[in-house]
This record gives sequence, structure tokens and C-alpha cells, in this order.
Amino acid sequence: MKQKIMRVIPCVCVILAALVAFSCLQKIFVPKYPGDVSSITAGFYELEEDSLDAVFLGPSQMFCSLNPAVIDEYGISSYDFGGSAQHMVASYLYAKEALKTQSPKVILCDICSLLIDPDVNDPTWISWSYDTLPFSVDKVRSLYHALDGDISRTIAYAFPLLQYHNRWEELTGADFSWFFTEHPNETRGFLDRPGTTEVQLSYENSYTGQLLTIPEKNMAALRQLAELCQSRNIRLVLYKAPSDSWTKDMSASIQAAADEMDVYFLNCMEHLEEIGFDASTDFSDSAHLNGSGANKVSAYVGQYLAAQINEPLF
Amino acid sequence: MNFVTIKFLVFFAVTVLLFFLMPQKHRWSVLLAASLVFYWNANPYYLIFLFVAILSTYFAALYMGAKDAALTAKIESEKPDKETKKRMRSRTQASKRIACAAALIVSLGVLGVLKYYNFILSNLVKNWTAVELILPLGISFYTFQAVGYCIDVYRGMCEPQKNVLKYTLYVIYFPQILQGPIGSYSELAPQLWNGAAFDGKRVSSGVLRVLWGFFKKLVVADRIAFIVNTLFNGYEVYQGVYVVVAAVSYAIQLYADFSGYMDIALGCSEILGITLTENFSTPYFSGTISEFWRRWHISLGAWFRNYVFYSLERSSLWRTLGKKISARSKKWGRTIPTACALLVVWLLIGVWHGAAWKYIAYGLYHGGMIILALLLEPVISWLTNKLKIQTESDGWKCFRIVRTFALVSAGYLIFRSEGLRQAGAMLKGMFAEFNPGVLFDGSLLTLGLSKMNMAVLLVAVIIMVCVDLLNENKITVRAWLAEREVWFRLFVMAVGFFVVLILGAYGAGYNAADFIYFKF
Repeated sequence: MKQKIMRVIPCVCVILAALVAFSCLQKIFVPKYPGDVSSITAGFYELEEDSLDAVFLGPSQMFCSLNPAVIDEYGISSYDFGGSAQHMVASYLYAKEALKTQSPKVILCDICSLLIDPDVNDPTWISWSYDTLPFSVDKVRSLYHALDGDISRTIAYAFPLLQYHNRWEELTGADFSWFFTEHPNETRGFLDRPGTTEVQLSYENSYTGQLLTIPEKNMAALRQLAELCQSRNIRLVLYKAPSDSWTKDMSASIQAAADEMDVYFLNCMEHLEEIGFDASTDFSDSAHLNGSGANKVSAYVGQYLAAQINEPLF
Repeated sequence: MNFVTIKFLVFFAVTVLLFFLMPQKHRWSVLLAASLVFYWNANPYYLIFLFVAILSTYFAALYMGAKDAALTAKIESEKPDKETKKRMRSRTQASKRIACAAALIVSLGVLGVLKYYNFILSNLVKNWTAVELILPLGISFYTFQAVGYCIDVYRGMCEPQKNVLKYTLYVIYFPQILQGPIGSYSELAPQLWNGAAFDGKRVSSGVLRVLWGFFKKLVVADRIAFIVNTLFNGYEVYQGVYVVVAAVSYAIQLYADFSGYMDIALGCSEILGITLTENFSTPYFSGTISEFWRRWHISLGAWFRNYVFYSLERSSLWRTLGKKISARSKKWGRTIPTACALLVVWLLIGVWHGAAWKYIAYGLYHGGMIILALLLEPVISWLTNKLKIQTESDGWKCFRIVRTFALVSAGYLIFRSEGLRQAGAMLKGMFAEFNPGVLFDGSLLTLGLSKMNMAVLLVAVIIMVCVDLLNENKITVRAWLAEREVWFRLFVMAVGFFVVLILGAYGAGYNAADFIYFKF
């Protein structure tokens, strides 16, 4: 018996060491996007548990427009938990991840990409959305849906070492040090974009009365998100930041979906005056706000959320 | 389903799980189902052609078996005299021959039409517009396997299989259907149906072999492919030593690719308790071209030897030819018919590789050299005696190995080129420029691989050569590992896994390359 145990122990040690090595290698090989999704997710997992009142989900339009430091002033602690080019199927996963450590009262989800069918062949958004999240069954399930049931690619993205093994040639000290250092996100996910671009908004004249179809994959993910929030007694707010290419038809389509699911839709495009938004000074580029624009929008959102949180839920 | 894909690994893991969960008696049914799924996955229409080969040989074998049984029963009941018995046997043999020939015409006919129709007509008819025909994966391999079985039954070397499903499994067993090895019925079939018990040592040995196959394919073959592709695609620019580099690189690529596939196929089979025929035996350590072909793609050589070469040598035509020449010279009466049979075999081996003149030239190149060696053997013996060459010395052995490798590599210029014109241009280009400096001045780093990748490739090739050297000296790394503690084997597996995972040339930036022999 003792002999058997003595034979099993080294085997278990080798297997455990291999698993640990695999996990470490994954973290080293995954590309780092400092200032974007890498810092955002790393910072999120370093937050104290149950420290947030609101979690913001979505792509760059979200984390370039919502500044948690401004929203703090309304008594709401929040975090921008998203990644560039994120689609709803990934936002749902981020919500699930967030709820593993946080118990927010409100989830605000950016819907700027809700009307776009996610391109399963575009590796960029998949990498940005999934690479930095830890392995979990939820992640595998989300990838499986995002990749239309392609098992091979699901496995490749679930274990990013398969995806990024070719980086062995380009690894730098930063890839290793990232692994050993802490990454508190001082701006809580917010990206203060510099520069100003003068944008001519044509939103008011963009109504044709034609409702647009939300792709089924996005709609399914949105429904799941709504159900998740309802089951956890969290208020879900759909959110649209000011941007150049958004139209009234799009707004109407999202509003219809929000009504169907009985969730709120905070459409900043309809409240530009109340926000005090100036399209000639508040854009960094046509799709993203700069610091000044973000602060104006954040103040408005903070006000809105304060009212929402104080309202009885459901 | 390519072996070096996640899809295959998942498929294989599920198959292994189901295989060992199933009672031993029924394990073959898991293999059959898995093999059908595996082949279906490539293209469901391929199954039609596969079943043509299976059913034609199956029914012909059944018919031949029935004929043999009827003959035995008749002889037992009638107890005929010797002369009548001979007549009865000859009649039965004639019917069996017709059945066997019919099956062979159907099976080889399908292969012939799908593979060679356009090639033949484009050479016969001016301005022939090629007809789009599908070429089922592994058709050359499974057809040969089915035909081999049919001939074995005809020759009375094995009993016909009555269960069509069991016979189907023999033909479509998934690790070998796409690239071989071409298994003999009497060796392979019983292993498939008996269902081996789980054996940890065997499984770990199989896993190690699979990893070694992945290493050869992903770390060596698919990496050196960059150099090979650059040099062969730019053959008009790259001359002199570059052509030598191209030939040697392709020799390494083809060996790593094909033997890598074999290691994966044999390793997977080993996990399932099935021993497939070895297809390689350190071929680049051969001293002659004929030895090379006894050690390279062994199962194909054996197939041609058993079913073509011996059939020709035993045929009345060859015997008559031998007798006629023997009347003039006894020695040549043996040599010339053998040389003629070899020429036919090598022509067929060339054609087997593909419907193109370059493959015919490739076959004839090797056949020609083997025949030349056969014919010049007395001269060479006389010369070595005269020059007092110690044929057992290491120096002479090394010289023969290098010479054979050079000849084989030169043959690859024909094999890998787009056509005979390119092969000719490359052979000519080899002598057009004297530029050995390119080996040392960093020019090789402009062929598609970075310095680091080149270093990895170099180390990987050295490891491959070392392992082959050990094998050549009858030392098998896996056999040595099998004697070590389990934890150590696990450790080696883990290291192998990480090496392949990280240094493998796959994923982003690489085209998922099929195995080279898939197209044959």
C-alpha cells in the first residue's frame, strides 16, 4: 500500500506541475493590451468583493464615455467592465463574471453593437473580449455561442496558449512581469481619450420609421442578460453613448427590444441638450468621447442611476 | 479530418473513451462507427466510392470462398482420381480468377477513372478540357488494401470474411485510411475485431508516439516547409547551392511529414491495442536505393512486391522470357526478367503517386537506378575488390549512406517540382552557379524563417537524426522509457506536449497544412 502511494504521489505532482505550468504559460503568452481590456479585467479582479453599486458593460464606446470617478459624486461606486469591439454575447459573459464577486444594484449595458451581426471569422473582437478572462465553464459556453458552435475554435480560444503560442519569439520582459505584478485600475476601467474632433451629428434627421432587426445571436444574449439580472434582482439599463453614426431608427429598434424585455433604455442621443453635450468639442473621434465629453455624460448617467437605484426595484 | 487539428484530438479522445467503456467483444463496433464518422466528415459522397471498393471485393471474396468450399465438399464426397481432381481444381481456379479479376477491375477501375481519366485524355486528345472529378481521400490506400485482401483470398492465403461490417472496418479503419500503412488482412483484421484490453503501459507508449509524430509534423515539417516553398516557387532565382538546400530540405520535410503521420496513426492504434505495420525504418541510413525502398513506405513496397512483382515473375509470359534468354545466357536469363518486372513495378509506383508525368519520371528514376545497380553489380564488386575497398568499414558505409541520400534527394527535385520542366531547370540550375557562401553569409535567413525559427528547426532536426541513429542501432527511446517509472514517463509526455504546443508551426500566421501524402 505504502509502495503504491509512493508511486502515485510523484505522478500527481507531475500532473499538477504540468497544469500549473500550462496556466502560467497561458498568462505569459496572452498579448497584453495595457490601457484597454487587459488593464480593465485585471483591475476588476483586484476589486474588493461586493464593492460596486453599478457595473458597466460593453465595448470602447462605453469605457470611453463613463467615468466612475464622476459617477462617485452621486454616491454610486461603479466600474467599466468591458473590452474593445465587444458584442452582446461577450457582454453577457462579463455580467456573469462580474456577479461572481460583486452584487451590484444596476447593470448598465452599452448596446452600440447590438444591431451588428458578430463576425465569427474576425479574430479581433473575440481575442479582445475573451483572452483576458479566466477560464470557466461560462467562458467556454459563451465562446461556443459566439463561434457558432465551432468546437475547434472554441477550444483554441478557451485555452489561449493554442492561439498565441507563436508569440514565443516576441515575448518581452513585460509579458513575464505582468504575470507577477498587481494591476489595480486607477480609473476603474475608464479610458480618458485625448484630442478633439469636430463632429456634425445628423441624428435628428435620421428617422425613416423603419425598425431594424437585431441579429438573433445578440437578441438571445440580451434576453439571457435580462433574465440573469431579473433573477439576481438587479436593474438592467441599456445604454447608448453619443456617437456619430447612430440613427433614430436604431434607437427605435433598441427601444422596441427594451420594451419587449421590460428593461430601461438610457439613450444619451435623445438627451444631448440636458447633458450639455457639444459635438464640436466633446468627441475624441467620431465614435468615442474625449475626457470632457465623458465627464458630461458621466454626470448625467450618475444622476440617472442615482434615481434608478433609489427607486424600488421591479 | 486532419490529424493535427483539435477536432481530431476531441474525436479521438471520445473514441478511446467509448472503446474502453464497451465490452471487449463489441469494441470493434466502436471502431467501425468512429471510422465511418471520420470518413463521412471528409465528404459524405466519398463513402459511395469507398463502398464500391468494399462491396466488389467483399462479394468476390465470398464467391471465391464458396467455390473453394464447394470444391472441398465435392472432392470429399466423390473421392475422384488425381486427374479429375486436377481438372476440378483448375475449373474452380478459373471461376475464382474471373471473380477476382472482376473485383479488381471494378475497384481499380474506379481509382483509375477518378485519378487518371483527365491525365490520359489530356495526353491523347488535343485541347482536352478537363472534367471535374472528385478524388476521394485515401482512395489509393483503401483500394490497395481491399484489392490485397481479394488477391489473398484468391491465392487461398486467407478465408473470406462473411460479416460485411467487420470487413468494412478492415478497409476503413480510421488511423490508416488516409495515408496507410496498407495493412495485410491476416495481420490487421483479427486485431481489429478482438478488441484489446486496457493496458496503461501500452497507452503511455502510444501517447508518446503520437507526441513524437506531432513534433515531426508541426515542429519540423511545417516549419521547414517555408524554406522549401520559397526555393521551389522561386526556382528561377535560386540556383547553385540553393537547389541542394531545396532538395535536402524537402527530403527532411517529406520524411518528417509522412513518418510523422505514421507515428500518429501507429500511436493512436497502439492506444487502442492495435499494432499497425511499420512504414519506415530509418530510410535515410540506407546504403542503396533498393534498401531505401525497403525502409521507406514499407507497406507500399511490400504491396507491389507481393501483388505485382511476384505475380509478374510467376506469370507464363515472364517464365517464357526467362527461358528464352537462359538458352543464351543463364545469368541474364534470371536478371533480365527481374529487371523488366522491376521496371513495370516502378512505373506503377510512379503512377500510383499521381496522374502526372513527373511522378512517372520519379518512379522510373528510382526503378532505373535499382535496375542499373542490379546490372552493374558484378562490375561494382570487381571494382571494390580491385581498389581493395573495405566494404565493412565505417567510412565506406558512410559514403554509401551519403551517396544514397544524395540520389534520393535529387529524385525529390522531380517529385516536388510543378512539372518536369521545373525539375530540369532546377537540376540545371544546381550547376549554374557556385555559391557555397550562401550557407554562411545569412542568405538562408531570407528564405522565410527568422533566426530563432531557424535555430528551433536546426535543433529539432538534430533531435530527429539522433533518435533515428538510436533506432538504427536498435535502441528505441520509447522502449527505454517504458522501463522507467510512471512519473518519469508522465514528465516526458508533459515536456513533449509543451514543446509541440509552443514550438509547433500552427495557428495564426500559418496555413493549416495537410499531410503531403493525403493527395495520393
